[in-house]
Amino acid sequence: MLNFQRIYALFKKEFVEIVRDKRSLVIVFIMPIVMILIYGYAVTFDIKNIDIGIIDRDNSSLSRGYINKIVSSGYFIPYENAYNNMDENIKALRRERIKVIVVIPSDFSFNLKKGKDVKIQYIVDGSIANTAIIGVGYLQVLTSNFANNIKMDFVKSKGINSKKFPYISPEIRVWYNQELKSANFVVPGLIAIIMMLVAALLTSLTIVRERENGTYEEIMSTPVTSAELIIGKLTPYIIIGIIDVLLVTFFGILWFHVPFRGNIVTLLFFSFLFILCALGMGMLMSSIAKKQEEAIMMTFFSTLLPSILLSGFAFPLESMPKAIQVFSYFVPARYFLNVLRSIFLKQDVTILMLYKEALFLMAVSVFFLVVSARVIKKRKI
Amino acid sequence: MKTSKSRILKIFQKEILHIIRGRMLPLLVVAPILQMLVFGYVVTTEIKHISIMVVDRSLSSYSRLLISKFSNVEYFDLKSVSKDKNDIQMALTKGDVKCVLSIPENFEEKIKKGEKTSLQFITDGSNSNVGSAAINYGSIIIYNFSKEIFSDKMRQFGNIIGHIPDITIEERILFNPELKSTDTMIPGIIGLILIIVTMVIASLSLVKEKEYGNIEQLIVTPIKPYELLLGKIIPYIIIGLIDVVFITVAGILMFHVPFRGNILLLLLLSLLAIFVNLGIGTFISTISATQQQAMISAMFFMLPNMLLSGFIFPIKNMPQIIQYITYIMPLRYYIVILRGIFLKGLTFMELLPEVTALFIYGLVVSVLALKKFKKTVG
Repeated sequence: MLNFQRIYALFKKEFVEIVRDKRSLVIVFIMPIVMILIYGYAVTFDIKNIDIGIIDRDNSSLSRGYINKIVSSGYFIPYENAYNNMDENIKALRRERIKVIVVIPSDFSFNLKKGKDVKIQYIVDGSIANTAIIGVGYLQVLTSNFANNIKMDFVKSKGINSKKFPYISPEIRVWYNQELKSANFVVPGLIAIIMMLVAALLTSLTIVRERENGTYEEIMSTPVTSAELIIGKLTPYIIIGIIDVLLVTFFGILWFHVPFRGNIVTLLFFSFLFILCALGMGMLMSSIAKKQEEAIMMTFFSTLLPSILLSGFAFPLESMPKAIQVFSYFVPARYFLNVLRSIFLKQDVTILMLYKEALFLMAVSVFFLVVSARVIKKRKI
Repeated sequence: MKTSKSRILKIFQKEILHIIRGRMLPLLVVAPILQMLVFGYVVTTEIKHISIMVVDRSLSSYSRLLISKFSNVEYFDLKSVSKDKNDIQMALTKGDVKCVLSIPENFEEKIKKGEKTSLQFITDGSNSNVGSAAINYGSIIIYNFSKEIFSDKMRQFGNIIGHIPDITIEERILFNPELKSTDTMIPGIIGLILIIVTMVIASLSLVKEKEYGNIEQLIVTPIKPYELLLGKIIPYIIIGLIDVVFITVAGILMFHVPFRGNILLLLLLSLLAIFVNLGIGTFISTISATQQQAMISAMFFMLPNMLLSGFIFPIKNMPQIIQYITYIMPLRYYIVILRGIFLKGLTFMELLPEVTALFIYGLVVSVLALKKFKKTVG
């Protein structure tokens, strides 16, 4: 049914087109590494080093001890330029130079020594909500720890000789990625994004370009069938995609020391399935679109953006509204990402555990490839 | 000069016709609003509903109280409570839960005796962001619980010796008192959408003519390179400005984001941002031979704008070298402008550093684009 000579001819033609275009070669092979290098370091929600302005109206050993407790926690960096200057601190807060101002009242140590309650004021920039929530949370914990010591001293000074004060602390254990290295999380995700970019975007242009250049009619006048056309045109991209997977994987392992605890065969198997999905989607866009820019825009909005936004690559799916979460089930990258993170970071994961993902990816790629073959066939006439 | 103006006008008319006749108009006007809708719900740095399993071997009123602290906040979704430590391995490996709180048998006993106790809090680090959020929230809950227990004990002493001093915190949260994540994200999303629309379109504008072979025809006419560029770009400036208004209004109506600044200042500074985006897009267009190249180059510039601009990930925590790279991202400056005007009502003078940066940026890319284009034409 399929004529392999014809497929090979198409394959060769497409391959030569890719290889001759130096920029696409750079994009296909250099950009993935650049992306890994940059994003491997950058993508972290970690909230540390929060800049804090200090207004210490008391300036006693007790208030300095309190400030020292905050600064030495490692979560806050004092903003020295505006020490004790409210106006400058507010300016810095507006300019996003600092996130919090702590105001210690002038009777801080006096009242505490007398056994009275004191209130410390925090002025917080809420414009970046996440930082503010975590920052305030830490400040509460640090303050209550500081207060505990004062209470204990006070109680002792009143003659109660108890050493027994309950204290509960978390003992944090992190599995699979002990140092919470963002590279361990980003590298698997980037594989999915890069493959979407390379596979879907490049293929989205293959047919429409022929159509714009007028070579499409020539191809259609040959005995090539639509299945042969699709296979011949897609194979080069499959090869490129697989090379990219290996490139990014090895780079992630060698440069960022991302662990690879799973099986390379599992990785290749799922990568192949995912490339098929991406190619199928790109191919469909290409056969529908009339112009290259349309194909690009359609592919961008229907494949690339969802892969970035709805796959769990950067934004946790759990915190999205339920309706949006439903959408995410239709995004192939979501499944592929699950698989990738499991293969890289969890050793005890087996193909059997991933059969749902495999079935879904297969179904999607078959669907898109069949539909695009249909569309191409129809358009032939 | 008059003829120059009319030449620009002709190119302008041609480009406008091109936009209206093609299928691009809906993409330019409808897509941004759809994007606002999707981004608005999706793009959040707030991590909620982290699935958690509790292994409770204490089975005491204290352990139940602690568990209720975890199930009462929206940061955690309590999936299951188990008595068996061996369940931890399976639940984390299969990905059923992202973290596990393990309460030891002697938990109640130790609290009653007034001894120090530690609770194991195990997180799945494979998603480092969810992992670190779980640690942050989990630790804060556990420490607050500890504080409560401690205060109970203190109260007992208080009954004997009278009032015990305490330090309380009074928080004044400015600009976003309810700490809504949408208030943080929507202004940034406006900037991102503006980049997607303007930069991508501009990157295609010239290369399209090149690919169709129209550029030679244009060159033999008396049109000067800058006239061609201006005529081609002005329509997109207009569309960009319309989009800014659209997505700003959509953002305010759909997500109830406050707008505390000056709308004219926002439009003026958005014009500056559009100028920069279009400059970059046009530059990409001049150095690309095909639409495919232009598009992919634009895409590769857009992704870092999303990730390295402080839009999602705090720049402060990036390695120094990467922090230098963030200065190349126009969104880095525009986002400060947007958040500043929306939430803080900043004035022009307060935004001067960002305005200056964008202005210089725009000038440099425009000159580069024009030079490169002249060379191509020559």
